[in-house]
Amino acid sequence: MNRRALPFVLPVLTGVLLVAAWYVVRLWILPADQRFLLPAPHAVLNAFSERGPQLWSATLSTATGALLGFATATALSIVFALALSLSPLVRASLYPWLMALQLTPIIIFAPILILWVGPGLKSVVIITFLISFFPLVVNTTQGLVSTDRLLVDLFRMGRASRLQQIFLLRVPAALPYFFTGLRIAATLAPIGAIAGDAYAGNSAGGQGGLGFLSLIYSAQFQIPALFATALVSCLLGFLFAGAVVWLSWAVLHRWHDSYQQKDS
Amino acid sequence: MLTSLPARMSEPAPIVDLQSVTKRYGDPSRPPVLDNLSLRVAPGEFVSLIGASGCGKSTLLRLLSGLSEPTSGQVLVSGHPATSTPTERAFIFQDAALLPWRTVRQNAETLLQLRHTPPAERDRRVSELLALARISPLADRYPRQLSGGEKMRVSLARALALEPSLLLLDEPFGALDELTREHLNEELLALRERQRWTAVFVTHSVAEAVFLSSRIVILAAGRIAHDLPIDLTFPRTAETRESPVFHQRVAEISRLLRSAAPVAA
Repeated sequence: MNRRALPFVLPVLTGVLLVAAWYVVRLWILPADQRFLLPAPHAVLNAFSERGPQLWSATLSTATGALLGFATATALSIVFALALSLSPLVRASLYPWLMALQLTPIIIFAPILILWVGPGLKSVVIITFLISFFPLVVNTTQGLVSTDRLLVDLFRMGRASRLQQIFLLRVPAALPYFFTGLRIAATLAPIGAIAGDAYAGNSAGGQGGLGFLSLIYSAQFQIPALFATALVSCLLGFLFAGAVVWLSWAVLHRWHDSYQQKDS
Repeated sequence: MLTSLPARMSEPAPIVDLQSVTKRYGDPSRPPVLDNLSLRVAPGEFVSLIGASGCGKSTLLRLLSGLSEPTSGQVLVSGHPATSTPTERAFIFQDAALLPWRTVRQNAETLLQLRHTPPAERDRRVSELLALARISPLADRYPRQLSGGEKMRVSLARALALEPSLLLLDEPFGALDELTREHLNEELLALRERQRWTAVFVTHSVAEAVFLSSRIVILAAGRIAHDLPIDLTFPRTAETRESPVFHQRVAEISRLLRSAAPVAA
């Protein structure tokens, strides 16, 4: 078989096997009175068609929160990383507090946040921001201060101005680090948005995101719909991660060693 | 005053003038890296510095580049302190030091871009140098697609695009295989025929130093042990390496180098 097709064919095959195993467990392993715990795949698909509009609007709501939080975190992390990279003193004074921010569990912080800004999109965006900011700022800062010393010497000898040194040397050299942070943040952002709206999503008359919806389905014991919500959340995560993987490839593949060419 | 003037006129003002230069790093109780060293280089000379590791060769180059300052004494380039001289200098490192995210052409343009040279002028000079360095066909490649020798050619093109008066080279061909090194040595001399820069060249290879230089300075323990003119005629070519007089010079200088810097036990 064509070797290039393998990365696409193999996951589909394992997927088919998983679905088969799922049916096997449901029909032959689980006792009849517990089958409701593992709804059949076709029941989950049914839930999609029945709950379609509800799931769709919840997905849009979560995606909006995730995107806004992620974008804000990315933009601010670049500004912060540039400031942090300027001097070890700035780094020393701010790093412990960034750590503190990251180490405070979001589940503890969310109720406080809702007290401050109220429920709704605003809270979801802030929670998403908080969860994706740290990996971005840490990686980008690391990239900005890890510039090859020889290249710095080259620029100093070439009498580069401070701005030239930053924008022609340190920033491009930091790109691979930035994208490492961006990949981590992209996987965290949808999770943050969903956790966020499980707490704060019930604004505007119960119109919430996926996190809020899962709480409702769980309370109503709608198990196939709960599975459908999980599936949609997973797809949203793939969308975020995939977009960043593509962007990283587009920017880096021509020159960076992490994208090795076939002929070398 | 008047009587001394003709004598001074007869020898050109040095482009490099080191006056009693001492350089220490850190601990003042340890011997200095450069110890009260004085050296003049006239425009057009090709001076090689050789000596054991730690004899101060690379330190001397860094002083000339203006990246560091002497502990005492003066480092003058065209009569101005090296840190503030208007004289255009270019540095070539042992590593090609290319920017991996830039193509060959963009790399060769880097230093001109820092100087805000107009794009048209930049294009003209870079195209010319890519051709001279025989890397025009590689102009759109990225550094990771190049061999070691090709990378060093880009590094040379980048430095020479500045049209420097003084070229500082710190073991530029040390990491290359013998054949590539010899080729690049010949091409370096060919480029010098066109641009006429002065060179201060650091190397570990006596043969390379003899082939390239009009003058060889042997350093030992931060001082000048020997200062020797190399009387082989220019232009020098691959055949030069086969001449008896070339081998004789290499043998003499190797002998002087050994006696100046006995191998530590």
